[in-house]
Amino acid sequence: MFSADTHVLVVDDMMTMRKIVSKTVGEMGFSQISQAEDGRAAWSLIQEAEVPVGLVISDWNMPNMSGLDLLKAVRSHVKYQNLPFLLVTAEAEKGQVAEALKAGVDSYVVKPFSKDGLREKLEAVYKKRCG
Amino acid sequence: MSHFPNQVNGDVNIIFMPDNFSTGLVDEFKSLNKSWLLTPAIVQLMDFSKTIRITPSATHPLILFKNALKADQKYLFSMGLNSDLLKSIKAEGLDNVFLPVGSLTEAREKAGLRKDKKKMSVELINPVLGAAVKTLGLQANVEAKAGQPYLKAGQSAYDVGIAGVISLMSEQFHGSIVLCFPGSTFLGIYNSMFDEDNKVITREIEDAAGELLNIIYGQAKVELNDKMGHQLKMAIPKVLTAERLQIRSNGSSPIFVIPFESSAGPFHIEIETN
Repeated sequence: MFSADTHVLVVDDMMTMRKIVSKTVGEMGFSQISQAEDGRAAWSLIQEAEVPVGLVISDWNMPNMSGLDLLKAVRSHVKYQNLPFLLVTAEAEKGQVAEALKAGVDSYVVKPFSKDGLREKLEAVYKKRCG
Repeated sequence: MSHFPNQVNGDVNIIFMPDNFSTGLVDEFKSLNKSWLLTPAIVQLMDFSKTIRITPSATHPLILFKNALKADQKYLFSMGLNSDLLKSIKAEGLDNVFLPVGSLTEAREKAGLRKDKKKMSVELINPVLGAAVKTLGLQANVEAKAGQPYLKAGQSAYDVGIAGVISLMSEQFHGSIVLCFPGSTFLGIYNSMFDEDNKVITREIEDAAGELLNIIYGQAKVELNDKMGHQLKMAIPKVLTAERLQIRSNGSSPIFVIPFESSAGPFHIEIETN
């Protein structure tokens, strides 16, 4: 499912975290990486991208439209309901994890994370989607 | 292994109740009551978050335990009851036996164990300290070691060039956490994080101070909310920069300083609650 050509969309309101995640997935071999600074911008990009987005890595806590709301929008649209979606969050409280799983997130990674930690999560998403 | 593991945390004893509090566990519960009564805890807090069933006959020993505590001027509360259990407890008029609360903090407050400002700040120190060390290590490859926390009196030992500020908002208290770096330390951390060699702090680099604090706060918040029963809300950090920042408080609350030494240089965290 994922290949070096997979279009990865990194969503975070903090420039630093967009840079960290983009750098990490770039080092993993992904060559097509886009960025959005909140859920609203990401949702527009998903719908308008010339090369379809193949993987979303989104922060949770963002102004305008949160990562959870972006996930809900994606899952409610027939065209994107199977789009692999990884949430990145500084929060890992029990209630929030349950809410994200209920909304259909493939996996989540808690900040701070190592490169290996992110890689493991992406592999888990890949396995889940490819059986 | 006990069906009722417990954890004494100062003046509170948290009792983790089993998934099925059945008649067969009543004797074990009764016998443990005696040892719980001997702990210094003023509040006995039964955590029912894993419980899906409470047999009616199991409520009798609760009443006995509550009465024994009352005679000793101690309190019994419960938290984590699911909506079905709450409904049946209400229907059977057992609210005043279980006394459900939303958090450990609420239980402490109802028992009249309000914390003073200083105690509250002290409680925040360890989760924040641990989160800072972990965040810098994992996210920036910077090894940091905390020194002895102390009460702030006067100015910082070095010039603060950049600081991330986050407001603490909960029903129980307000306050702030400030992450303070000399410019050179912060550049060292940023360069280590991205394997770069920046010489000046740009707008893009400033953003990292907020993000680092955001991550530290998120980590600490989980421990404070999930394990210690606070109800801290999400917050968005702000970044302050100047050649020589002076971090002053508006109020009269004590400010705790946690000093750190790191492979990128010294920095510190200030914690205030009011």
